[in-house]
Amino acid sequence: MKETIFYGKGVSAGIGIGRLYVYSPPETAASSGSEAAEPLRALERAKEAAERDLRRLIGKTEREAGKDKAAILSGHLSILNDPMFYGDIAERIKAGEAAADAVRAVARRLAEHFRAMGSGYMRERADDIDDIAARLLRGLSGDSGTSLSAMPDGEWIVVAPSLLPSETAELDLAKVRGLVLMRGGETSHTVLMARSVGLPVVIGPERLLDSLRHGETAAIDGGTGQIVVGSDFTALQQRMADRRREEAALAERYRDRPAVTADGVRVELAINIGSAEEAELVHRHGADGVGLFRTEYLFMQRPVPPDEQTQFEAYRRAASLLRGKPAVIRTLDVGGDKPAAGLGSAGEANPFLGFRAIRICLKRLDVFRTQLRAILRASAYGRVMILVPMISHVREFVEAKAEVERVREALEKEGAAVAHHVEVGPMIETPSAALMARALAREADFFSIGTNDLTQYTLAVDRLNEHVAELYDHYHPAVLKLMKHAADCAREQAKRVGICGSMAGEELAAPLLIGMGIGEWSMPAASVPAIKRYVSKLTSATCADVCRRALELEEPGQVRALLERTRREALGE
Amino acid sequence: MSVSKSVRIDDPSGFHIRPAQLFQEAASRFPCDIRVKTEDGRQADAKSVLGLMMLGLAQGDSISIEADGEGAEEAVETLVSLIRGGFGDSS
Repeated sequence: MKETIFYGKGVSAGIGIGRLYVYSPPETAASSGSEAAEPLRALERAKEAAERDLRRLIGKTEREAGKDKAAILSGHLSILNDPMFYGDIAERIKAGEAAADAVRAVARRLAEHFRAMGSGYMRERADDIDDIAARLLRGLSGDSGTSLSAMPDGEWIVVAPSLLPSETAELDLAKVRGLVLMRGGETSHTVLMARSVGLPVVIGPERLLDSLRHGETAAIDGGTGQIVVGSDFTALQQRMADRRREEAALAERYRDRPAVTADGVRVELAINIGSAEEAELVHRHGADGVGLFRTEYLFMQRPVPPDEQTQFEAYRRAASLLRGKPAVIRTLDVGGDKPAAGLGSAGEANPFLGFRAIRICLKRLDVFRTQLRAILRASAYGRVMILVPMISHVREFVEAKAEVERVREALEKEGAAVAHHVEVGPMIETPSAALMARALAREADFFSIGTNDLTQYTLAVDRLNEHVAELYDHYHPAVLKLMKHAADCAREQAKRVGICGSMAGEELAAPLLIGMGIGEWSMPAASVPAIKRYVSKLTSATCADVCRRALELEEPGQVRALLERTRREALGE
Repeated sequence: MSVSKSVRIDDPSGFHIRPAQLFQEAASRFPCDIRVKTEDGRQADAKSVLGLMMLGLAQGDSISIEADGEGAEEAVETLVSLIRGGFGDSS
């Protein structure tokens, strides 16, 4: 059978194989013509059915994902019975309106009100209203939907435009092997939920919905974002098993070896993590530490920032799991397009140029200090470093560092245990930070180059905008020149320089990074073994040469061609 | 008989869904009418989670709780101390 490969964005790691289950949310536009003779009774019955369903879902979610995750559904139960929701619907029906119309009208008014509210947390509640209204409408139309709860036995990959929180809770984890969604951010409720239970998720472009057919066999990779469709089940399983075996063999072979070039240049390979538990992966993949702990996940799906103790426990856990290997903890990087915990200001005209990351932290010193206290206290339990994101002015970094010192003094006065020296470094992810690298290097203990944002800001391309996304390429020589300049400035002053963008996890980039003298690379854990293998085949002379030539080219495509050639030659493929 | 009392919200998250639920549940145990009024004159039914959330209350806001009818006094006392006590949980 012919095989087709689609590419989406992997947002929850893991490989899932199964048949595609194309879920279309139930048609909630039931025509008023099919209205029951006694609309009030019908409404009441629909509400009772909805309550039963919700109670069952709450029980299921509490068992599978914990009480925390069920809170949102218990909120649904309250809203369902609320006088402003149910009461108003009943009033309108008494006044002669059709039941379904009444539900839609009340839901629309409430959702609009919440969407107009100031806080991101409250705006998300509009989704809850839509969710409950959809449930009630389903009960009214007697349509139980393609229903995720009545999925036939088997192994399925659910394909849907998006999933409401209650639909996510409905998934039967014994049958579902993965999700392919068209919408929903990396921090949506559904994705966070999937991550917490280890369910692979790929978010694809909207047109994917037309290409994926119910019942076809497919495999998805929530790490790389690949969706392979159309092969038969056994063949796919075989292939995925082969791939996993190959990866495991590679990991096994390189686990206890450092990343060293053929002529002895050592590179430190670290991993990116979003939760403390993932620090364990460092040992499994033979990495040298954590190069990027994204602390924003601790702040997502919360109305307010987590308190000091909650954060401290997460950072301490990561530090102790690392058993002496270093952890670079990045301070809060939210705002702009991803407001969290009531921070940042939504609805900005240019979110990527707006109120985000360190810009928020320096205005909300209460939040920043709480996080710094938690990180510094954790420094007594392992090797912890602090990385400050989104620096565009040298003084922002100076202020952040001064804040670290103030917090340290306060902690020491309280008698708290804090490591003797905790290194602080800026992220180099704006062109201005790269160009001001000499001044920043004087202040910093280390640099970490964030190539994703650096590329976006240098090329003035929003990579989420499909009309211009093809202009986005981190191998653009302009980006490479900025990286090289930052690396040179750091080395001039004997400061370490690392990289934590997606370029770090690409084999292709290895000779460039070595050529630039970037010595610490932070990447997804699964990329570590392959990168080690490639590094071991390179020599510093080759790398210096590749780097020099790349910087003289004009187009990213030419750089890629050069890097592809280098890789083929080194690996003998 | 009408009873009214003012209280300031100290919970850093204001009135998000869980405090609103706890507040509404406590209010619903009383037969009397209970309203929550903001300083700028908006009001909500204390027995409506949606109404409470839509007030958009934040830390530092003052509200007055008013009740009419049977058990009004006890209701106001209970709800005021619920807010002062931080809803008995810190989340």
